[in-house]
Amino acid sequence: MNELLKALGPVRSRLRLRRFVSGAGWGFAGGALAALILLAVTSFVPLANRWWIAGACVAGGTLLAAAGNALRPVSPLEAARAADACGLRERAVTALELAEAEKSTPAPPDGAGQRLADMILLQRRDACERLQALDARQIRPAFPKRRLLAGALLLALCAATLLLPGGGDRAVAARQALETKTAAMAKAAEEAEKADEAGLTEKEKAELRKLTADLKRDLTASRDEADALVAVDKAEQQLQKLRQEQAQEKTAGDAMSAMDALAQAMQSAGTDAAAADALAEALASGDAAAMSKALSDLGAEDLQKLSESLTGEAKALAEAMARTAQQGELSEARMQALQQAAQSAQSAGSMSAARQATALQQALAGMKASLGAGPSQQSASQASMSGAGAGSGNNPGQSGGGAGTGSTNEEQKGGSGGQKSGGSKGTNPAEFRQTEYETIYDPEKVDVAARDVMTNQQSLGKDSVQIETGPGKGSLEGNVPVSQVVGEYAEQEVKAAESANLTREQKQWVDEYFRKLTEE
Amino acid sequence: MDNITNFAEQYEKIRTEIAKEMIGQEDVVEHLLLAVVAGGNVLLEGVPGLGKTHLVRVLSKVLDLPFSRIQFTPDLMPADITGTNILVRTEEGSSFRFQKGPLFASIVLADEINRATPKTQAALLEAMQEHSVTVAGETMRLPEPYFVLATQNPVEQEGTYPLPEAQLDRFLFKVLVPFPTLQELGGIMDLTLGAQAQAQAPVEPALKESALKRTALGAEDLLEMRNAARQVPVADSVRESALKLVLATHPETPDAPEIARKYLRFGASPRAAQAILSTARVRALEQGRFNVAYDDIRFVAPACLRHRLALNFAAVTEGREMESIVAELVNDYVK
Repeated sequence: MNELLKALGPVRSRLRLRRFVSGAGWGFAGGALAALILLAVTSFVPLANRWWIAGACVAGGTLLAAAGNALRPVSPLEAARAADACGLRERAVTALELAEAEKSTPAPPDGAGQRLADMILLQRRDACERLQALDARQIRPAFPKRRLLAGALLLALCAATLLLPGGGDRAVAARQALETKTAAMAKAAEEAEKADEAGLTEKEKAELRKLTADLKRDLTASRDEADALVAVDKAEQQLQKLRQEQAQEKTAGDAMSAMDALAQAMQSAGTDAAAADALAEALASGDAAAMSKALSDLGAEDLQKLSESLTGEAKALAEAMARTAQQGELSEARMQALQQAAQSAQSAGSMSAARQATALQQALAGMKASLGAGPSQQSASQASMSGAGAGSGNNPGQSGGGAGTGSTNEEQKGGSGGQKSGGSKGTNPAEFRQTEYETIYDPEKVDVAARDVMTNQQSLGKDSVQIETGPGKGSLEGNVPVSQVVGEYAEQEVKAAESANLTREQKQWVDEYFRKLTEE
Repeated sequence: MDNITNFAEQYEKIRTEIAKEMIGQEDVVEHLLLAVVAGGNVLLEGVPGLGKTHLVRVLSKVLDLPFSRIQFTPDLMPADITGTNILVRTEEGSSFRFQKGPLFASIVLADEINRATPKTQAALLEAMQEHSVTVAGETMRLPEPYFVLATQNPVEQEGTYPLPEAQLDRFLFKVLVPFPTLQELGGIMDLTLGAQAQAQAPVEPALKESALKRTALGAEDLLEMRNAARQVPVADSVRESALKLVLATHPETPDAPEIARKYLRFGASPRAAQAILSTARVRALEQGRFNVAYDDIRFVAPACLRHRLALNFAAVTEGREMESIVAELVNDYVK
């Protein structure tokens, strides 16, 4: 048996070669088919590097099928059949079968059995001799002409997929551009965050880092520019909130320190405590008569001396008071100037806080600009963010006249903004403006999680069409047509406008905006 | 082991001796020898004058076996061939004694077998299959080796009795004796009408005494060759192809090929498969191989099948011949 198997060795090697070629043919055809399917599908479903993947299908399919087919074990029976096909006339197959049969049922030891054993021996010897004399190169790998032709045809069809009007490549290119852009944005945010860290406390740094990390994560996970814009919006909102919190803390602290310094200076100068209290009350109430009286009680000279012992905003306040005391009767305008001086002393801290994280703020603005949101849209976004706070007015230049709780719309780009919009009407051309998305904050949840509904709005001149583009983020139940929420928005706008520190002109503009929106 | 290794040599010796007396007809001789070594009966079919009878006589002499010839005629009775009990008068009185018929020989030439009545033809059945003869309730064994070599004339249909299927099945081979080619015919003329031949016996010039005395091997050698051939192994795939071929001749089977369903009335019996494998084994050894190959099956299958199949009416009307149908089946099933 071993002798026979050994004699079949070269035949098995040739069969492996034949299988390799055959497998390569099948693999080539199969890979080409897979590539064709892939390219046809990805003409409609975007896939990055689809041509490379298709090429890998063909090459990988060919190699894998060839190798897999060649590595498949060649059974002795198969080798024997192949050898017999080379003119051995079933010698090898018969010898193999006899060897296996002999193992299970040896020939009986009688005369017939002896003849059978002799015959088996002769047959095996004959088969082995013939196998050894066999030139295994006769077993030639069949050239897989048909499979190669089929593969070539399929490859031609692959090339023909370029004619399919799917736009998959364009979508992939857009996706890659977005990835590049978001990566650059993430890097810019990181750099801005580092630049902003100087002069911040550890707590502020940590908050800023967390904000930046969230932004980077959201940018990376963005599927399209709309997602990226939402992420930037969200970061901007968080930054604004952070700055407001910091400003409030600093304002309270700095104001307290300025007034405390003035009070301490008065106390150390031996100023009457009752006069000092009356001054503080008059300043707080804005009562000009009470202020005149308190200042006259203190005396201009004493106040001037006090100012010399003070520094910073407290000194400025004391000097203003001294000048007022010298002038005698306090007019309404003078009283307002004095109050502004007190307010400037109070806001000195908040200004320093507002200067913090400006690099990140600028970076976010730059990101929005690069994502296609024009200046007016930025202002709208800014307005919406500050609108959440309903314009508390604590921070000069930031308290926006936003449309109130949960209101953002394309037309709101022209809304009276906060710090950056400055009440401008927007700069986008009026005849054609298109945004990729429109975020409408759910009025019920805006203060909690700021869920939104994704819509697509196209504005052409004065005509505005709003199209639902998918499951709304603002409603757990699904899409929320704008017609269903605009009334509710308008009601909330009225309430917000009433409670916010808005100028009459700003209120009128917002009212007009919602009136038109409701009419539409 | 010697009988196996010497098989091809002995076989070649027989063939060579026959070739000295037979011009051409190599294929006929080959089939005849295969059947004889395998131990079967042969039906030779050909027009008169092709040397059928001569071939059988030469074979009997070459093998040095008892030979008898029976000329079948319509009035031939079974007892004429099997033998009969005859009344013998002796000193002790009268008694019956069995007088052996011509069947009691090793090689029986049944010349023009289809001219005898079915009754007489049937008398051959037991001898052909069982190698025995039963007369008056007594069974007598025939000598071994035993062959019936029958000839049949396809032209003369008047006054002939076609052999029944059961009897045809007993013939291992049906060998068609073709008309000789020009060269072969010339050779025959030289052998039979030449100057040397004219000096020989006038009745049958070809059977010269020198040839008749030439013997290659005896009965024992032949039996030994037969035993050796029976041990030749057959691979499963080869055997399966032979069996599938036989099954394919049956038009009633669900897997029957279209040609069988269309043109065959009935298929071959299991004896056909036995015939194919036994004669293929002989051919393998004769070729110097110790195993049966597909080629062997392809060579012997037509001779084994052609007399065991029957064409139906469609085949007759469409002019299909048995040879083409069998050849197609062999090509399809023996790869």
